[in-house]
Amino acid sequence: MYGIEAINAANGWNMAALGILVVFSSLIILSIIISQLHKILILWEKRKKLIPGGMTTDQPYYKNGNRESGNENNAVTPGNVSDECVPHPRFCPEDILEVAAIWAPLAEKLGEPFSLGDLYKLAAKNNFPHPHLTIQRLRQENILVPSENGTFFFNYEKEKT
Amino acid sequence: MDKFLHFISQTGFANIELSSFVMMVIALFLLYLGIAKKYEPLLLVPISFGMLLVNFPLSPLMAVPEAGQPGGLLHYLYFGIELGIYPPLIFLGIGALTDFSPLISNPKTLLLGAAAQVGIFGTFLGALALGFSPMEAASIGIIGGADGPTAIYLSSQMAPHLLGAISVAAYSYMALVPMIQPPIMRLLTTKKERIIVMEELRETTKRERILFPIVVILITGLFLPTALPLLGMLMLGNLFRECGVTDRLSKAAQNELNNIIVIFLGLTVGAKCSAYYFLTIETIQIIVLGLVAFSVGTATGVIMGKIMCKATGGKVNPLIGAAGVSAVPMSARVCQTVGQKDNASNFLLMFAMGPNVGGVIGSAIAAGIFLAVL
Repeated sequence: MYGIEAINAANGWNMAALGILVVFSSLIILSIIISQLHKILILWEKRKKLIPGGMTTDQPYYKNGNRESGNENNAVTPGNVSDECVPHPRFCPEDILEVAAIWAPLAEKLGEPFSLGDLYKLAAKNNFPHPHLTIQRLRQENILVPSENGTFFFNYEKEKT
Repeated sequence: MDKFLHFISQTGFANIELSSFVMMVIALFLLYLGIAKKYEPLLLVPISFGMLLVNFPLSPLMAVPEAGQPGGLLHYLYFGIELGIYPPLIFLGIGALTDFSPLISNPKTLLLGAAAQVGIFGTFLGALALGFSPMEAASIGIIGGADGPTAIYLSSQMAPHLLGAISVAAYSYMALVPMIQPPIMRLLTTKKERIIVMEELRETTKRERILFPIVVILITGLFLPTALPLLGMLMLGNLFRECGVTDRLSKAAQNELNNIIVIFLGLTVGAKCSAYYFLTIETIQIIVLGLVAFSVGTATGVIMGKIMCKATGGKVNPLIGAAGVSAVPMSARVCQTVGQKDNASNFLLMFAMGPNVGGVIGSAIAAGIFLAVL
């Protein structure tokens, strides 16, 4: 048996339609759940703030990324900085010049010129918030200036203005 | 003199047949493609060498055990395919090698992975129309997913007699992605669409990356248990990679285990390509249908990309839809190359990786559907 007759005999149309429907519906469900995953995680991370008696944002943020009490020497606040940690606020300021002022010590630490990869790694190591996006902003504002061989300079003049 | 004549009668020269000779030439040609042209060499070299080995006259490698004598080496290694062991283990390695971040940060690209699977079901109908049985048609259609292990897994379960032709077709088209996809992509898109620069992807957190394989397996496992052998191993491999406490297992899955299974799989797939099974009209039909499946999958992915481009007000470059056929990461690289021809500063690779890994999940689900329904 060949052609349309063979497709009809094997219930081909129904099976193909069912297959496409199942593939699409399962991937749509998956895509919806994955798109909400980070929101659920943000809620989970903020659970202590939402519960009465939980911690507040005034408490210091620790190098290992959590805000539980522990080794107080690990606190990263402007007044309490260890040798290897660069001080920074918990949240990234909106003003790009403020951001530049916070990031300048990282560039000083690396020495110029530096690669963006090294800057990213150092920022991530110091728990700077959103290092990838911030580097992108600093590049757009010409605070990170490219040199000829793919490395970058930090435009300190712009930071001071 | 009798002994000498007996020896002569036992040589390959005295027993060679035209069909075996043709298969040996095909094997040498594939070997050339793998080594000189670097078309999927990790797979094509063992496949073509396995093909060469079994097509020697009187080759004992695939011999079945009889009269108290043990069988050939490849006969025993072939149990890994027959029992459906190698493809899930390959998926374990793929999972450990794959970074799902582009998909997690832009999950709507899963739809592109879903759209590219339409080619599978379209070709399923085409194969039925050509007189193949539903199980054979399903095994042929899955070539459109451009996912070698999935094609091998499904055909080993549903149409083991077509395994050689299907696996050679699947891997050949995966190797030929850079030649097959670009004309289709250019035909279906305008220059204005091809130069679209997409917004940067957000960063994903470690927790998200750990939860991803667990969530995927919970949903797909409940939805379609028949897809679990492939998806379960894929997600386990990815969990090894992301959880941060199983580095040794992740490295073993990525390197030693993966490499060993690739050798076994390649050799035994090649060993199935003896002249008796391969040089038939059915094989030519399968190769043509595989090309149709792959082309339709690419086209439907791009068309879905165009729909998403319109729906988002031009924020999605439709070219990335072509990466919805699995072929990781070759088809994502093709999107990057085609995109850069019209806009040299456009970097589509990471955006295309989303639909690319979505396609792996989609084709495993499609295989699960066939296993459940047929």
